[in-house]
Amino acid sequence: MAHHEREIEVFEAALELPSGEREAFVEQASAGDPEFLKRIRALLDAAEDGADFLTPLTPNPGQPLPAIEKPGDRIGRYKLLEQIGEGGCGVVYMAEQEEPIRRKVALKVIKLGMDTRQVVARFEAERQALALMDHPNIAKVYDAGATTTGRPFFVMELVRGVRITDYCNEKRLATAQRLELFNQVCQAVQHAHQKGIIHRDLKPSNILVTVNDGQAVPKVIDFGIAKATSGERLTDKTVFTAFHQFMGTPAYMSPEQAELTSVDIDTRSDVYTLGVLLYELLTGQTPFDASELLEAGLEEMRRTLREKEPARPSTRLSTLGAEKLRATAGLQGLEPPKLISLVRGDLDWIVLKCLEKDRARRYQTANALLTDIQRHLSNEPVSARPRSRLYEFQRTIRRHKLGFAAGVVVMMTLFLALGISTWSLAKEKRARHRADLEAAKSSQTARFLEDMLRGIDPKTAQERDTTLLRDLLGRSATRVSEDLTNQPLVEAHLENTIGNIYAALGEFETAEQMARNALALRRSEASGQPADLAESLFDLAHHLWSQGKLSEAEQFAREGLNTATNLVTNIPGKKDALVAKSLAQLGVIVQDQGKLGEAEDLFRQSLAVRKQVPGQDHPAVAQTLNTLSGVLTLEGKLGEAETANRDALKVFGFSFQQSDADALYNRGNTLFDRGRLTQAEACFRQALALRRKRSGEGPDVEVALSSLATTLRHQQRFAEAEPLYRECLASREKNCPNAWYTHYTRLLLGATLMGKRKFEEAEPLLISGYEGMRERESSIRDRTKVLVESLQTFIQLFEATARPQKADEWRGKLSAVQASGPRSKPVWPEFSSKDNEAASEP
Amino acid sequence: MDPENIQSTEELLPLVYAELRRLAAHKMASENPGQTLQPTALVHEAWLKLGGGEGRQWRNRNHFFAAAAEAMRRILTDNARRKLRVRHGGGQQRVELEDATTAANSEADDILGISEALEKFAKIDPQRAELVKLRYFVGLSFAEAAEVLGISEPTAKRYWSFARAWLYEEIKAR
Repeated sequence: MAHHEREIEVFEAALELPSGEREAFVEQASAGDPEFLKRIRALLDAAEDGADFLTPLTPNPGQPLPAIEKPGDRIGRYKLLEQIGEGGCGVVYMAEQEEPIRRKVALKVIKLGMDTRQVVARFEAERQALALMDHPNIAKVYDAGATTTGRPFFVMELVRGVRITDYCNEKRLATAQRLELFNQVCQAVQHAHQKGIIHRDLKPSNILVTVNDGQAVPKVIDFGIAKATSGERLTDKTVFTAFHQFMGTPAYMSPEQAELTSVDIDTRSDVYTLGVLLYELLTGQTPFDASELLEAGLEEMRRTLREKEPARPSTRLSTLGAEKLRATAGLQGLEPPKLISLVRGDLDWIVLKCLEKDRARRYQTANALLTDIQRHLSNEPVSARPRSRLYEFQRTIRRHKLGFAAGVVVMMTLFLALGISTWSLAKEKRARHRADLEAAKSSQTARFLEDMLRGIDPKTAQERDTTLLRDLLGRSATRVSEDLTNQPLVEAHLENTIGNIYAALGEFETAEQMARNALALRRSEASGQPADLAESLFDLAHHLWSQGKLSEAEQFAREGLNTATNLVTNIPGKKDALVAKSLAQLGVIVQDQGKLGEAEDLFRQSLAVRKQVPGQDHPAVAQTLNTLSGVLTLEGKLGEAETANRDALKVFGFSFQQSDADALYNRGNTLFDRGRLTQAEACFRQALALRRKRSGEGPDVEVALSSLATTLRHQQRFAEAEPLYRECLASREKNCPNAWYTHYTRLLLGATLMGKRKFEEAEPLLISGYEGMRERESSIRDRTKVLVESLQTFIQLFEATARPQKADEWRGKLSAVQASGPRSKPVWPEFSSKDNEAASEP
Repeated sequence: MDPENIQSTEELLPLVYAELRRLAAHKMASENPGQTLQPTALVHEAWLKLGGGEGRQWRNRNHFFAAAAEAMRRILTDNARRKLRVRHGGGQQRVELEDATTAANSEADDILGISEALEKFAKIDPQRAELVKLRYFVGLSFAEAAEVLGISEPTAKRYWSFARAWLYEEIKAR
């Protein structure tokens, strides 16, 4: 802007001059432009008048933050040597005490915001009790006082160690060794409790492991400090302050500690926290995620700590996601299934008993906890056991959500049991009524099996070695069709179930075949349940849809919907669930055929049913809203799409205080990383809608498109992912054709098409995307990850298109990359012209 | 998730924004009420938290500061706006984390006015506007801001004089 440049030039030149000469200069420079003259005069006045204007918001602009204490300073009779730690609560120094004895100590200066006199007074009150503690696993607290700047400080035995959790992971301690260390911590806590001291702030950073003569010795530090520094918890604000200052994280806080009014904390609060620590040592996670607790706000956090049942450690492990589970198990030197089976049972119960909301149900002492762990280690029965049959039943229901590895084990057991009871019985042709009885039993078992298998994430399944499962499935399928001929309904049920497992493994053709058999059996059997028929139709339609056989899928889906609508059943909610499901399924199928209006209508109908049953706040409602929002977007009804999405998010309990596009986008990423794909999807959809509104198109819309598409792709929803990747790619090809991520998008689109089994269309996209990235690999931030992903995609492609040598060759390339480690710079193998020729072979 | 996420300053913004908000909330909760926020310290901490030390996601430190300055401007502006809304709307005073970043009451109007004027100025003179963001919203010294912008310190001071006069004039004229 030339005008602006000239303003600057004249203004700056004028400022250089003594103030007496400015006016003349400005007049001359403005030469006959009175507007300009006026403007410059105004700016020069502003420069004088506004000298104090724009004082930086920082109190001491440009100054470093004042350091209150520093090494070399003296606090009382202690000389600070070096800072050795810093936490939410304060700064810890190594210090030297000179009298009465010369020794090195740890000196902790508490951060601002405390009433120092009260802190010191509270400490003095407990001093005698603290002095009585004498235990090898407890760091002694020697002294407390106030610094010259008025902050409280504590002097403790100097412990040079690492956090217990870090120690266990760095040393890759096996589960039993972790328990041994944990036992020592229990002993320390028990000792303190006997002396009348409650820690109140046990957490990994307060339990340090030192190594003495090759022996790992955990030391609990900070005894007595939480008590001295807590006290006035009257308002929300001080509680939050307390969290940040003294807890650092609410993840280790007992339900009674989270209460505002509660001053009644006893030793069982420490038992709870020991349970949290044990949970973390076993699973690598705390029962509740600290940042989620804080994010949810104070009320919600209290509610969670007070009411929400934590997942069992073994359940938590099996829902971690393959990669994280493998890492967690690896840190204990185990394969994932082994870790899960080790933790399941006794250790689950022990941990849950510590974590009981009602402290009367917890272990009453740290010793009781210790005893149970020792019993577990010596294979004796533990005292922590389910409370009642009902309790156990509820837990069993939850166990349905077991992960894949556990699922296989349970399933094998079930099939074996089934084989022995039903098949042998059928062979022996026992009395007819016995067979009926067994038939009922078998179908129950089949249902149980099916429910359980629903918990298997196909993604998890695909990442694992499924040879065993495939073999088992194949043999089961044969036996079902050969041995169960006189029990067609049981056969149908099992075939349906097996078909669904095949579908989960991505073998849709076999799944389709199984579903067709099941359907034929159910149609032919007069005594069959129409509800089962509807299920069969639904499953068959699903498998067909998965293969892109849309018109056939539509035909069965419509029949399924009819069957469901005409269903007469006295099981509450059953009909509604089937109808809602069938409506949504048909919607998805017609949406993929491009019949958007009809799809929208179907989704809305499904939504209406689901809002009645299971109800407004059910996740199923959110899911349908998400789907609805997807089709609305495709129809260009962006406003309605956004509303649908907001409603979906509301169901998930998001607040809209700060739901701007970017916050939502970030939230989506977090959820995606945690494997919560449906919620991530809702966030991305909403973020996308808001960004479209904000900027129409451009990088932020592209990123949102791509993230949403990836979320859908991870759910195998390739048909929905495809148009999003296409839009993203088109936009990037226009805006930034040379960026590596434009090529990456092309590769991802190819991968999506592979999901739809459009291999011919996918291959050129994969190759050109890959080559494009290879040329620009130096600009890729996470290049190993991207490369591995690309190579895996090629291997899948070659396998799916029956080119085993190619697949092997690229598997070799993949191992080479993986062997070179995540930190090295991987070499991107060239996609040679030979490979290209191979692509055109039949 | 996607490694492609972090590309331009604009895309970095949400990341820095979220981290700064979190830090700000954390800071204010653990210090005396009424104490003013120290944006410089916040931004430095965000830099460390976001892996700045290893230079992972950032093309360089300056790249980060550009995003941080804009994030800080948005945070302070949002909070000033919220504060004014509470004051004028007579709404209930709620203790929320968001309040943590609110500057002293009297500053709220200033911050809003400056922020708006600055947006206008940024369209005409992006580099000088950037300097103002770094100085005013992040609290960098001339030397630091000059380094971030890749200019000399005397140049930064000259830029500053004009920018300050321009903004003062702009706000006065409203």
